Amino acid sequence: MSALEFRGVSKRFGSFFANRELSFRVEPGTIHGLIGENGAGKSTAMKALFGIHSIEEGTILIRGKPVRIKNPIQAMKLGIGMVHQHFMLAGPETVLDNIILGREPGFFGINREKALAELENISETYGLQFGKWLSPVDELSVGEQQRVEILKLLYQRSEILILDEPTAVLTPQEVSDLFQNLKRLKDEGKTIILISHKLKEVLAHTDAVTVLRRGECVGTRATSETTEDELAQMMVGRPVSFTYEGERKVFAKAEDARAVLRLDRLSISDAQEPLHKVALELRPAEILGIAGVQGNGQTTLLRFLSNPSRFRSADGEYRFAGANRMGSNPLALRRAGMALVPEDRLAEGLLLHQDLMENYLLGQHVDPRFVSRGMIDRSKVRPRVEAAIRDFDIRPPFVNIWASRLSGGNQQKLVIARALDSNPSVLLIAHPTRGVDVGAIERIHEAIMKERNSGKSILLFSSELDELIDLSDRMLVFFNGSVAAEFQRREFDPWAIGRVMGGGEK
Amino acid sequence: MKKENKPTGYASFRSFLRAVAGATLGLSAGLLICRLVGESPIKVLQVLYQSSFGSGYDFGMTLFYTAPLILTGLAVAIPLKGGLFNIGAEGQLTVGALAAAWAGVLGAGISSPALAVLFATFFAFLAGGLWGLLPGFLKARQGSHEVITTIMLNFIAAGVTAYFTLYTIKDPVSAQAETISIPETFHLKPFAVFNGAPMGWLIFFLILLAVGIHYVLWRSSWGYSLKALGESEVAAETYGISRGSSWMSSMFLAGGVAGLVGLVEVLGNSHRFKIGFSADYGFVGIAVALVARGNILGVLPSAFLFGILQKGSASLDLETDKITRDLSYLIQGLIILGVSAEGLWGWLWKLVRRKNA
Amino acid sequence: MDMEYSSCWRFGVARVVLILSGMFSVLGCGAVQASEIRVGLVLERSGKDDKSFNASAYQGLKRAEKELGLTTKTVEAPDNSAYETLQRAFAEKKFDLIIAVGFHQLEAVKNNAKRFPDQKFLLIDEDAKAPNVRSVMFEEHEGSYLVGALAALHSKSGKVGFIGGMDVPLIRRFEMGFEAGAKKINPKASVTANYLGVTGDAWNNPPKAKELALDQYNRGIEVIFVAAGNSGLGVFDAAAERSKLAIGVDSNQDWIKPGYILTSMMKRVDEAVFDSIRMFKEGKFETGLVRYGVKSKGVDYSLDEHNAKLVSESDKKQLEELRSQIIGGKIKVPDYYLVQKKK
Repeated sequence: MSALEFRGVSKRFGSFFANRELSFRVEPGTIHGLIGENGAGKSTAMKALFGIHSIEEGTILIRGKPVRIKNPIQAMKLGIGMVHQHFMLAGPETVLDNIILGREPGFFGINREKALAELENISETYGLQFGKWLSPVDELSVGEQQRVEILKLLYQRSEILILDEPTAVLTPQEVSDLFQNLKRLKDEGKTIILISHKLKEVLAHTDAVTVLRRGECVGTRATSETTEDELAQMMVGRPVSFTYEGERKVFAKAEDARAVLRLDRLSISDAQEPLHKVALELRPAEILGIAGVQGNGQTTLLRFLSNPSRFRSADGEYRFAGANRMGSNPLALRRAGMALVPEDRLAEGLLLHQDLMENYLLGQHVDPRFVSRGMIDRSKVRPRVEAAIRDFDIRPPFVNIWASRLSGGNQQKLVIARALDSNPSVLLIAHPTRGVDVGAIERIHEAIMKERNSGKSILLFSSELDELIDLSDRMLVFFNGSVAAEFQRREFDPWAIGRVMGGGEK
Repeated sequence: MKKENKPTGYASFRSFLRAVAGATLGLSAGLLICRLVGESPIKVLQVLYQSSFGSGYDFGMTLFYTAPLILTGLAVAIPLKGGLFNIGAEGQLTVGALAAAWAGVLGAGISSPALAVLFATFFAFLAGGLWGLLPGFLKARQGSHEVITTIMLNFIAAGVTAYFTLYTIKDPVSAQAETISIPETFHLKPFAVFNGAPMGWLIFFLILLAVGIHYVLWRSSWGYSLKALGESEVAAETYGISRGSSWMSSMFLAGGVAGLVGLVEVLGNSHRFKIGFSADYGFVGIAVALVARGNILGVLPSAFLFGILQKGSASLDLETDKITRDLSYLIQGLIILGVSAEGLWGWLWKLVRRKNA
Repeated sequence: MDMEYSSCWRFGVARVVLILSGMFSVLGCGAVQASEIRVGLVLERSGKDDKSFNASAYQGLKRAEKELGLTTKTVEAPDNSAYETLQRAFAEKKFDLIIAVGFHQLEAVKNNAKRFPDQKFLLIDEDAKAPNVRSVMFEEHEGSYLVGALAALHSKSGKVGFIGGMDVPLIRRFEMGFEAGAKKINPKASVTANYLGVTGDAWNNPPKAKELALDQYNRGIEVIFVAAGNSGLGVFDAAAERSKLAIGVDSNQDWIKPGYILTSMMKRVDEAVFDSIRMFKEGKFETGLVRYGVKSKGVDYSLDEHNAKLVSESDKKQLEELRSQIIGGKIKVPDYYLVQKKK
């Protein structure tokens, strides 16, 4: 008997099928990968399972019994638990309180001792060592927070655990810890569904994989009988390559060239992630990768570089395009030839309830190419947007749909196309492929390399070490708000870089 | 996929239809209540129709109520584009109206009516604008929440204008709390066809003003910045849109527009500033903007609807035995609910679709 | 065929028009007997439940309805721009007498009096100066003078207080008369005056009025005259709390806190309304300005079972003496309106 089965499940939004006649089975006591590009219907399917969406057709069976799941509480009662991509933890509260929230023992008041005993028992059973029950969640690392989420599901006696892109925020070491833990859970009989777009991961750690494409189920494979290429082809519908193998033009003396952007002794104390005496130089025709575990100052660095006016406490030197840029605002930097692909595409990069043209104007709304006497001439913008849609294959290819209607990858393509529109000399690019479908990753990487090969300077921030290794000419690793080490391309080695990311020596 | 190809114009038209449907639903609920208290809904509709279109005078009075609501509706809708909730239109219009009256006192020597009106318009706009700028400035500088500051400034405006009315430019002959009346040159002439209702060319000016503001907000970089800011503060800041200047400028414009209520009341109607002249225009303006769903042009029909209801509330009291002022306010409230109950609409929509499916 | 069709269509249209016009003509009708007098009353925004001015006018109308047998309709204005519309609607419906209450309606009455020269109006609290309007004004300063005198009689220290609602000339008129009356009895009397504010809220803020009253009592003031609409309730509370005395206003408010309200300076709007309607019925309706002063008892101090123990026979005697002196012209009570105009 399967732990979980989807039988002809369909979910429509208007005339659009988010899921169309999905059918697959998940065997008990296995790790089951669910892969697909963004918008392929993975989250819709899991939300249906978790009772967030109601389904129109088909049946979901849990342990062989058809069920109708109307809300998450019902899902929990059926033993289904989910770790969302964004953790659902209350920051200032303790780990213990976060875990028992919603299932507090004791009718009058909360019996914390009882809960604690139960938790110790659980962590022993599943080999999830954890000692910080009474620390505020805020003080934990991302990996620890994830472990709290998993413990919470175990505490709720979940039998089927859904993990949505669990490795997106972890260091290589933390990733390997996570999979060890998942394996123990599996051995204790739990069923785990792993939503991911990282094929290597899926291949290494699952027992079976189901591939979705455009809301439909392409097929389920036993992991041992499939290959990366086969899965990728199933996902995208055509053969794809994963590592950037395109041309890397070699420029004479690129390393000695004059820096177009230079930071010296930059310290910022009043930011959430402070910086301490950071120095860096960005030269023409290079991609400088910025690596580091999230929270070690990269965010502050990017925000400072793109908008120094926001940091009053900044101390040090920032030169760009031949001028001092301490205290400059984004529009001034833009005029001087800088363009930005921000970290958080949804919050920082897009106006979700505006159409693509309005989004294309963001940051360009004062560009003299489009604006005269304070009035924007949208008839001049439209062909640019149409060109971007064509060049980057943005789908659906319509200028006047809301940005929220695009999938993550298409949104990112729009943000990158916009950044390139003004023909900048320096590009600050953060997480270009976060949450982006495999097909689009390829195109984005190509675009970045093309800019580099045409002599542009690119500062690339990414949490995907593979991506940085593929694209960068040099790499700076951040730890605790400072540059911990610099790697030249020939020195790139994931384990060495990972060690520095975790605070070790090069 | 077909659905996603619908142009933006279609979406706003659909939103308009929804608003109309919402207003109808609210009105129907109101009529149902009238029925429950024993008044024929048909009669209520007749009274409303007669009171707003029954004669030149009635129509003129309806426009007279509509005019300030256009202005206050705009005063709420403009900052709303940038994510600010302006509760202070009442204060801004009070200050603007006093300024218009004061302009009449100061400009007694002006002989050209056009110049006089322009002079008063400038004063009213500037005074209201500064009154609006203040919370915009506090928000930009100190992060003070605009809802709190605009509410407080409503009280302060009432106090300040009352002071000037009673002690500085008080009409010494009158026993009422009102200023000296403004000279004839400042008067806006009503249309004769309105048969005594104090409304003339001004209404066309106000419609033009709304259209103009709509155009500027849609076409200009400034309007774009404001819209982007209202949509996502973080995105706007990331791309170099200054929150402070957008907030301050939009609040200045909003306050100035609210201040132009002074033209309607002082230049057009009572020819002087009277304490408490406003029929809560500033607050009804919030409802006007809500029903218009923040759309600048939508403010025009929305203000007209509220004008009809305001005019009608007195007529309902007069023409029926059971319906009092309060009941007609209830109907207004139901209409606002009908239009703004987004969730309700989603639910009804689902219900209809399920039936069709 | 064509003919048939078009005539059929015309018939349809005619029917629709007929039905519609029938529907809309329901409006301005209502069976009217020629003999029956119809009186329309237009109240201020505060409406017939304001426990004071408008309520008093409404009571006068209701009494007339009962005793004189007439048809009445009362409306409350939703805003200050509606007065003209409402009066006009009454006039267009050919009501025999239209009563407009409150000085806010002055402009509206003036305009409508001109527009409907044959229509009779009664305006309370302002002078419309129109040939078809009877304007009734109350000599509030005279009544205030009497209660001022009574206040001084009940204050050993000579300290009396005044709390006004909105700081407007009308209320200043109360204050000025009150002060003169107090000083007449006790030349050393001192009057402390406070106003609740300069906005409409001043009429409806009992808590603030209470604070002001407590403060005045703390400063040794023994009697407070309050002319502040609804806010007066706060002053009565304070008086009861401190076992001091207060004086009410407009209608007889002695019953609100018996034993602590010395008297009320009554403005008999009900009398004025009733009298005018009676005259109208008897065909003796006189237009022009009529002043209701202490002579006609249009303004008066109240005496009833609630304050009988407070006001002694000798008090009464002194007040009646003052009243006759005012009527006889021996005493000229200062009138804020006149003082203002002279300035």
